[in-house]
Amino acid sequence: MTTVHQPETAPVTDYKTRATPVLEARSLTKHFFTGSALSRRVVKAVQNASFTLYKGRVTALVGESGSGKSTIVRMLARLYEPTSGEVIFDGRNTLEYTSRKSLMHYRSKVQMIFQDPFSSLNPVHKIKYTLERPLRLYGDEIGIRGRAAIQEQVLNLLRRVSLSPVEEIAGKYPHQLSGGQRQRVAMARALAVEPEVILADEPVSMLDVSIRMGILNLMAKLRDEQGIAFLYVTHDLASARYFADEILVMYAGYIVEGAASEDLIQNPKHPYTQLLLSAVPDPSRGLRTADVEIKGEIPSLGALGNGCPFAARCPHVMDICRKAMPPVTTLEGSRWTRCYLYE
Amino acid sequence: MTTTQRSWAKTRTTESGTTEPLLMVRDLEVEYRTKRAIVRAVDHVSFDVFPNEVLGLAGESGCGKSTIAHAVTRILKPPAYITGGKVMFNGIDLLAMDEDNLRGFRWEHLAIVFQSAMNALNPVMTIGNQIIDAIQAHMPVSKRDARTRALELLNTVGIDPRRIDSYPHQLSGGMRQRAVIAIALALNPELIIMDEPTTALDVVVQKQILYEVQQLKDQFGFSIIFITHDLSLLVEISDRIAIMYAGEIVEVAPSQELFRNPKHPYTQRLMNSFPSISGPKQVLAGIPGSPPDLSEPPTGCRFHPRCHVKIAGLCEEVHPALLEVAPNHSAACHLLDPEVAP
Repeated sequence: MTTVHQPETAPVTDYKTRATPVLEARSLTKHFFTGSALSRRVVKAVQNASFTLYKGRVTALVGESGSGKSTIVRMLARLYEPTSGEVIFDGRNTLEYTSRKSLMHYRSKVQMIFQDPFSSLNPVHKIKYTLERPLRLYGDEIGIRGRAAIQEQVLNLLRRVSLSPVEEIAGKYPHQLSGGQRQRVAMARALAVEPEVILADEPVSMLDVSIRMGILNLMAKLRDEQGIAFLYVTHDLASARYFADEILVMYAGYIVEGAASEDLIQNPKHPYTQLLLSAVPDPSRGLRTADVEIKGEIPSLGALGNGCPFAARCPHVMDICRKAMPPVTTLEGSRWTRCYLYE
Repeated sequence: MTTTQRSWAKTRTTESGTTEPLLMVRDLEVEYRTKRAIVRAVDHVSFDVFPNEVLGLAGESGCGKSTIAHAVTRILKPPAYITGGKVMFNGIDLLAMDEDNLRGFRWEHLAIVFQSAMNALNPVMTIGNQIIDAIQAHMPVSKRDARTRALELLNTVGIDPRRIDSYPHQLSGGMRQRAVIAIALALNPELIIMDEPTTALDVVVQKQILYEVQQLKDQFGFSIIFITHDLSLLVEISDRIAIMYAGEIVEVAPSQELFRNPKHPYTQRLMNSFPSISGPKQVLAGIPGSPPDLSEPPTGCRFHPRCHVKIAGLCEEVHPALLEVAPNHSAACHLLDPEVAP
């Protein structure tokens, strides 16, 4: 644990050039069943989602609310059982992990940060307690044993997320901290078990705008210095461009496009990505010059047909789009999309 | 701080042609009085809204922007009290008006659209009946005429008029927000205050609604106070922007001027907190620290604890006045005061 305080001296590993897969989703699908036995409705929340998270890289999952982003996160965190598909970690399908011990091991490697720092910390316990808990539970796994070592590690964790003065913060209750400080505590709690992957579900969208960058920059530092793989879930394409190395775009349960961030922003391929980009507020562009005729809204996930879910709003729609979901088409570089225009 | 030390946010007309403001707010003060503390959420705030203008009000949560909206429309509830200042609407003093007159005045001249359309609509009433209610409460018209007007309004805000008998839960979030806008438009008000009207919506729907609001404004000639924390959005939609920090207005300027040439250190740092979707990628620092607790606001300039260019010995002590630093552009910072930093 002494190494974490001297990241400046640690060699900058070439995470960017050498892709080391950590966690892989293979054809993840989640259907929710609602209604009574006689009139059963199926809500197809996520369909056939496949992607890989790499060491020291941030993958952003971008989409509108209800597009299935959080469902994917919950499947990866093993909070939801997928209807089908695999989650590969360490070369094994983690859905086969059934024992408490193997699940605990998995969860120590794959941690989560939630949107709301006001409800994700227990209000009746001091910050110290919140950070000691994972250390007690996982102490054997990460080699931290004994009271003194745990207490020292709590302070280390607070330093790693740039909260100071550490002793004072450790003795506070969540309500005595600001939103940004609370989100840093949530991050410290996630880091406590030395994870390889952090699933961050809208980690800054509830924070004040002036402190969002501080949190994103902190996560970027953890990515670069410790090689943590991040899945960054957001509805904000501009922050995804800022923070992520790769962006996946979701629409109505499908990931419709995936590309390196700049490629996706500069040259979006899927008509939905193009629509989403044109809708992002851009002061240098101005609203009045908006020439986009945008119609309709995201369809109900309980009433999806067989075709592409974007067909009803797509300016390039063809007959085939309404009949079947387009397969994945690989384009130049490592980018891909699901659209018949590129078939 | 005495009022004489502060200048009013001086503004002149934009493209609308007239110089007479529709709404004049002067030295408005609002306090939240609880047992524990008195919090002055809005402190000597002055601004104008001109006919057919969109004034953007930006700031972080807790800076007092929503409190201003509630104070101007006189819908503040205890423990919040207006403790000083003037709100003049077309020459009428809104703070002196009694409840009965206010009720008539509000929807006819001045309407408000809240952030959460889910809570603003009555869940057990069809949207049509809610619009008809608003019309009939203010105008002696038959239900049939009011319904005809409701159909028109739905069409105006881009809802299929056949949905008039739908209940709020049968509509999407975007449609509900459009319905709320339709109710706000029902009596052709001169000013609509929109308090984070699209924050709960997705960007695509947000763009649709803002585009339509813009069209409606040009068509009907009303003014808008648009409140949001999203500066990129505000620059797009507003004619002028007022930046708030810790209960005060710290900078006012035409929106493109504010975007290209922000003067106040807070505005500059705030601009540097929004990643952009176009142009070169930059490292953004945000602003260290967090907004202050208004029950104990910092002395002197309220931004000084987070300011990277503060003048030691001055900014902690003396409150800076809002001064005109360029034509139509005011800011409250000692660095911009020629007497302090020539």
